[in-house]
Amino acid sequence: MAAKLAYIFFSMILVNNYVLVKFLGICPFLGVSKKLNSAFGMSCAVIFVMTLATAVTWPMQQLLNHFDIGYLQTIVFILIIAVLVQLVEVIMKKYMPPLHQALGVYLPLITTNCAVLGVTILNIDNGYTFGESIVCALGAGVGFMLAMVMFSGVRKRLEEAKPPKCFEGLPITLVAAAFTSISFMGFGGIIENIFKIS
Amino acid sequence: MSAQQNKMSILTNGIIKENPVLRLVLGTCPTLAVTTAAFNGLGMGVAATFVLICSNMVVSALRKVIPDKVRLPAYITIIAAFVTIVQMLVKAYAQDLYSALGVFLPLIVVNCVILGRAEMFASKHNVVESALDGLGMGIGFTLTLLLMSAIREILGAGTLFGMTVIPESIDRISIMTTPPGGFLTFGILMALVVYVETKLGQSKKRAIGCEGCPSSGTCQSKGACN
Amino acid sequence: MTKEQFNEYGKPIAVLGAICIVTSLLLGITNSLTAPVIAENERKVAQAAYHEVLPTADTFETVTGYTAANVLEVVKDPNGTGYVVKAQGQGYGGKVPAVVAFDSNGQIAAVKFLENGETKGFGSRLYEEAEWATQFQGMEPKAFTISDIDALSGATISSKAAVQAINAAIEGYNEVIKGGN
Repeated sequence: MAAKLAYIFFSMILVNNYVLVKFLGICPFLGVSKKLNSAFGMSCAVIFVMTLATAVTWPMQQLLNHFDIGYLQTIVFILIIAVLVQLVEVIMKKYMPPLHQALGVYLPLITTNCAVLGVTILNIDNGYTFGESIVCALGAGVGFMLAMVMFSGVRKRLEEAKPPKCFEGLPITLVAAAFTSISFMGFGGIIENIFKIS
Repeated sequence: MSAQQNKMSILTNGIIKENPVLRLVLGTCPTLAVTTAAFNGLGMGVAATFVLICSNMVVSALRKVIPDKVRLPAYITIIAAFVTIVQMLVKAYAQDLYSALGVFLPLIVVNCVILGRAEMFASKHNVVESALDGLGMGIGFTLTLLLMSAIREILGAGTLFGMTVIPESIDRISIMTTPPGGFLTFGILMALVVYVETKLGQSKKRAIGCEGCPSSGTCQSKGACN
Repeated sequence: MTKEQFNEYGKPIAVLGAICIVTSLLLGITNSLTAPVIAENERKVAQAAYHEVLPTADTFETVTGYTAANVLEVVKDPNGTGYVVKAQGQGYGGKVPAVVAFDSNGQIAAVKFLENGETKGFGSRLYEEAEWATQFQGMEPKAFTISDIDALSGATISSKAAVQAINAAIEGYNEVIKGGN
């Protein structure tokens, strides 16, 4: 049981990395990864929102299934996420100003973001239990953090490089992301064999 | 005549001048994820265009009624409604596309192109113009997806729409259909567009910037991205 | 409620509420139109799979009388050439559905895995390549474990799910046979 949870957690970070393999959350990934501390701040916010959203949407799906209105999943999920994030931001602003300073600014960006809605939908599609879903969301968030932090290092190097004029800015960033993504492909099959589940 | 010209320019705007993917850098997630095959790219483009046109029209029709406070939730609900309809239609009548698009079909609801246009255009223009804008943006989006997926499919699998185009004897560059290939194709394509732009003197700075982002209305930290 | 109060609080809620209601109605209608089509598609896919694993049968008759968990459907050939059971296991990326045909001797005639959400290139090989499923042919309808068979390399969880599915099918088959169906 613990092995399966560990398996889900680590594979979300490496083999099924949300940004570099699944292509969810590209906008914040490309937009906020320039500076290390904003990359770190953004990913902390993402981990938080992903886990919270999963905690609320998973039980909600059970409710939807119970009344046989599963087709309302998309609407209900995105509205829950939007409202939840608004609420969290308001509470944070009022009761935890320092935290709001650090993370609050990123919250609106994450609301309408594929990564969060993606993880909540995928949890249902994969048929995970509540515990597995939470672990999956945590793993996805940590994977996002890993990709962001790694990439901000890569971008720092890019600043000093001199690509051809037409590549300057976003194009060369994308090419760099391609190479970062290749490195993650090397993880295929490792996780399964580390947690020798036989 | 100028009214007619105006309408045409709204339509063609989305195809080249303000192409959502290559110039405004919106909707990057599906662009990278579903363009592994031309059929998927086309399917996603058509689905997104349908949602875009419908939601633009409804948002525009209700633009005087929706109070500013609940703008975003209202737009999201409207868009999500159409996305759900598309989901059901695709699942019923285009099984293959449904399994190919996977989670990206419901994710159309958070596609920055759609939310962005609702906020930027539909809430400020009338229904006909909004519909045209939706169509133009949709066509631009679909063409870009088609281009990217054609490149990736031909190089990576040697086929186009499932028909073998490159003889079997020539090796495939199979990395093109994997995630790194997506980033690479996108980057090179964008560089090409920048090159053409510079030649034409129409450069546009590309960034994941505020102008296209749908959250810019409520964002507290304008300019934080990039 | 003063006009200002209404504009400040009442109107947004009313408008949002109205949009939600209209939306739900619209979706409900679309759902009732498309749900039957979707169900029919699924039925067709299942039927095609049944014919593939038990080609000796022309038609299939639904069978009831099983309580085994994870068994989705049991059909039999009215001419007695065998049974087909559709069952599923729990894999890494969701359910791993399989269709298992039992011939008139009770042995497994063929196994076919249907589309699943397992990792591409690893667990997805279950339904992409027919080769692996041939090792189950001729097996007796008795539960077995993953150590009894050749697992898919690099796809342990998916292989275990496949075993789960086949075992569920075996359980369902045995129940139905005993019940005299």
